[in-house]
Amino acid sequence: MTAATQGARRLAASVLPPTLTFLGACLVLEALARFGNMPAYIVPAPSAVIETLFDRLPRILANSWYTAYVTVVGFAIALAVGVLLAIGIVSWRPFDRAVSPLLVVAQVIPKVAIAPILIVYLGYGIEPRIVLAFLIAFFPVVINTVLGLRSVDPNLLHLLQSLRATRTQVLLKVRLPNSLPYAVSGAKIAITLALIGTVVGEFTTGEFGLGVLIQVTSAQLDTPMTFAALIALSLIGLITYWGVGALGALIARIQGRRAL
Amino acid sequence: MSGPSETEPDAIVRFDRVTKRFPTRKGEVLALREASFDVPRSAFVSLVGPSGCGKTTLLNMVAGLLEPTSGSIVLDGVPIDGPPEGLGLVLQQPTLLEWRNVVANIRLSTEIVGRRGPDVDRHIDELIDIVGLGEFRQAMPHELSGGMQQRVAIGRALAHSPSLLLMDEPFAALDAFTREEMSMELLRIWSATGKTIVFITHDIGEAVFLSDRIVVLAPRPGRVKEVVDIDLPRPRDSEVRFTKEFADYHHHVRSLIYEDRDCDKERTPNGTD
Repeated sequence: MTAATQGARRLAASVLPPTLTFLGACLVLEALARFGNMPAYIVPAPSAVIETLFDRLPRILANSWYTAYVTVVGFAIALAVGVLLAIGIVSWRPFDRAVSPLLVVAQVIPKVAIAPILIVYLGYGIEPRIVLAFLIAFFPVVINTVLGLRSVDPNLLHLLQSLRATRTQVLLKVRLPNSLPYAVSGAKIAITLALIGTVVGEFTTGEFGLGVLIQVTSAQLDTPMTFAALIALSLIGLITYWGVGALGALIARIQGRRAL
Repeated sequence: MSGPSETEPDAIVRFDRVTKRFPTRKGEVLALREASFDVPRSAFVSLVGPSGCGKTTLLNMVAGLLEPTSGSIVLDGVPIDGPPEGLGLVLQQPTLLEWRNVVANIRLSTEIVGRRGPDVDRHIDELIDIVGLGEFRQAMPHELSGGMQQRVAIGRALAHSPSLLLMDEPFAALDAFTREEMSMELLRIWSATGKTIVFITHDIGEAVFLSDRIVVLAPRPGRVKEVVDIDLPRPRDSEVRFTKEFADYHHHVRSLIYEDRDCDKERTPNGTD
């Protein structure tokens, strides 16, 4: 067997089962909608959802773009702030003591509960949504990166100490690169959370975005459109998640590491 | 088997009644009691003894990572106070940076001590050939065998041109065949570079094969039992292991270690260090 056919087989083995399961579920829904005597605002036929998706593509795309933008910006800020916080926590003991407990408090507060205050502070624009996406996403970045910065072989630290390495040298040459796989897995969690934060923000403050579209269309009992928006939302989630993973894998590959 | 002369005219390291106590919850533990011996310049000196005899403590004190409770360690005429310059360290695990290839891993120590330039690059290039990794310059650590990874670690320990190489059971994690091969390699590297080597091992045969001098240590409290000078001709190859002289040295060092264990009636189950 050539490598190519082997690869194709492996791809098929990973893609086929979930695809078939999904299509099966769609068939059941389609049957329910057509023969089950269910109104379309409760069970929209998958065919009707697809039809809606294509008929009203411009509106869905415009809202998708908006949601994706807020998600990615919120995520990027979460990544930057998360890594900086992690470096501060690992490098400076008093900072760790002062900040780490507060981070946990910030994490356990349900972010939906903060949204109204954010509107008071930041208005109804894009800002409160970006802040919400950031707030919900940064925690796993901090936790994972701290772990990665700390999990350096103590023998290696010994060796660096015997060479009189400065703390900055240890951080830049060893701790930071060591934390890459950890930061990437934190980022993968963060990107999915950022999308949740964005939608929560849109529910409470929105003018645009898929969250707004879902709220408006479900209030109008335009269920096929709601489902079409949900499909767009899942695609955004999948693409951004895959993008973060691919970016991490690319960096690892450039550095010649084992796959993450 | 003659004992060593009292003081070496040209010792690079001189241990003078070095004592180390560690505070523990149950009170102080005497890790090392009045250890005195010399490491002659450019010599190969092994520290041999069972677990808990203070071998690694001695090494860490030379590396300036621990301070003796009393006594002194003098390196090149200067008492050690903190990590000294010109020291290379090789540990049991290679501890390579998995995101750097062979060249970049070896370069790490020169980066830390702040040495760069074409001279350094040339030196590292030569060194890679000396440690036998000429064809693996661009290889990543995970593509190398355990023995080859340890060669990289030796290269890294030599890259910043130290005068003294400290090795803490560098071959303990390797299989028996690779281990013997690495012993030969180490002798070759040693004669090619002219460094002084202080080598810790549990393996008596390895110590006799490699060393000019063996410091036999006894445990609880850690102390120097005897300093044995190994007067076997150099260069040595594996055949020397089957000579009568080798067997005599091996037997002597072994009996030094075991006579101590036999009188230790309350011996606890084997620990590791």
